[in-house]
Amino acid sequence: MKYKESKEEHGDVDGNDMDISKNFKLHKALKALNDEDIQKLMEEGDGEEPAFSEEHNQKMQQMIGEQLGPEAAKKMQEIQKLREADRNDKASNKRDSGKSHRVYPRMKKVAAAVLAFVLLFTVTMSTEAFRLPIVNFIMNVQKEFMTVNVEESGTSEQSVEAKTTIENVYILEKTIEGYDLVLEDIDDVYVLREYQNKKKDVYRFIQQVQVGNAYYDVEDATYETIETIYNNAMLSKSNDIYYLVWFYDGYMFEISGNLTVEELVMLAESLTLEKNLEE
Amino acid sequence: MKRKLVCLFLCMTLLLTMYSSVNASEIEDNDEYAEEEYTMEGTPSLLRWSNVSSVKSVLSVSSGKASSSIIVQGYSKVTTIVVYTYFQKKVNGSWVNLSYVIDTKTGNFASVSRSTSSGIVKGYSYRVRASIYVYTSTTYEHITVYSNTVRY
Repeated sequence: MKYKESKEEHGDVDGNDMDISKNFKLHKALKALNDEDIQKLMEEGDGEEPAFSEEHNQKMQQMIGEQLGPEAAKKMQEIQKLREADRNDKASNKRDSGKSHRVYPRMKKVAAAVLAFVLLFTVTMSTEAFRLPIVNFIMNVQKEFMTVNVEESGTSEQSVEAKTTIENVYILEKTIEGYDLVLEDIDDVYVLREYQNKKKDVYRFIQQVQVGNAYYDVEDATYETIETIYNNAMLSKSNDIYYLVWFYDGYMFEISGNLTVEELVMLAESLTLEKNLEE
Repeated sequence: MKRKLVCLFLCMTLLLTMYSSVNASEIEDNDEYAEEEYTMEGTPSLLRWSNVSSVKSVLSVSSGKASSSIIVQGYSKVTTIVVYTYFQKKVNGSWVNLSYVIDTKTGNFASVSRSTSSGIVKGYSYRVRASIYVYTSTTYEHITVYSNTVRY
């Protein structure tokens, strides 16, 4: 995946030697832990597992997204969902059987894994720049409309070049239940996909080169920035249309339609690289 | 006294002439709204952005070809969207139209993708001016948006 490739280039080109070595080891350890060990630990046995708050989980996902990219964040999210389902099953079984059993060694292992995970994050974050650029939305509000652009802050390591043509085509892996893809249009400067249900309700996914201009109605509209695995995203509601706008890999992405915020975020987090047109 | 007044009047006239000629050279846009309005059917509305939710406008120039995309999202009442796509080049500080295309889409959403090679040469700046007419039944409102500017 291009994201991971660029990560290695950043490290090789701009970093401090000691930090690179340290970070490389940390990353390897972190990746291995994330992908295999934690999952294994979470899945083995049937003991109790420590539960974290929803806020904590979201923060962790965001940190993972910033550090290792959206793919890793999605993986973490799936693990958390499995854990949650598992925990609910166990609670249900326990209630049914009336038995109470504790598995302290297993809890210790899980707690140690989570602690190591958090510690590695803390150390890694303190020594290396975030993987995703930190973007600030610039909303230039005029009398009747506003334009939306982004400004990247941070070091050059974080910077992702704004694309001028579509090189990488992205898709949303998930769809809203009852909706089908009815239109797909891939052009030099944008990708448009339209989904429709039986009632003819529509939502759209647009990938556009970041250099383009975007105008939004400001009358009767609300705007806010929310934190996602892609750092900041703009959430807007304009009459009956919701917009979720975010920037990633030099492109602007937008999902619009009469959907809930949860649905928009769920769709956005399922963003996946489909193909590279230059390969 | 008369001479002085005549002299002052001449100086003022000269200054005003110079000022207006400077302003004329700063006109950036080569608008043709009058021509568009003449060809549009229906009743114009003075409102702006009352039935338009969002517009995205992009230009990319490479290998002697300019590619543009205009995406218009209207509100549910919108019945038709007409998009005039003008490819423009900056010549001596003014934007000059190279070519234009008209696209008409039924419904409240329009995605218009156009490209041209006409007049695209290196050493100039280019942009797209999108003149958009959004209909609710027989009444229309008009908005204008611009793409990013590309130095080629």
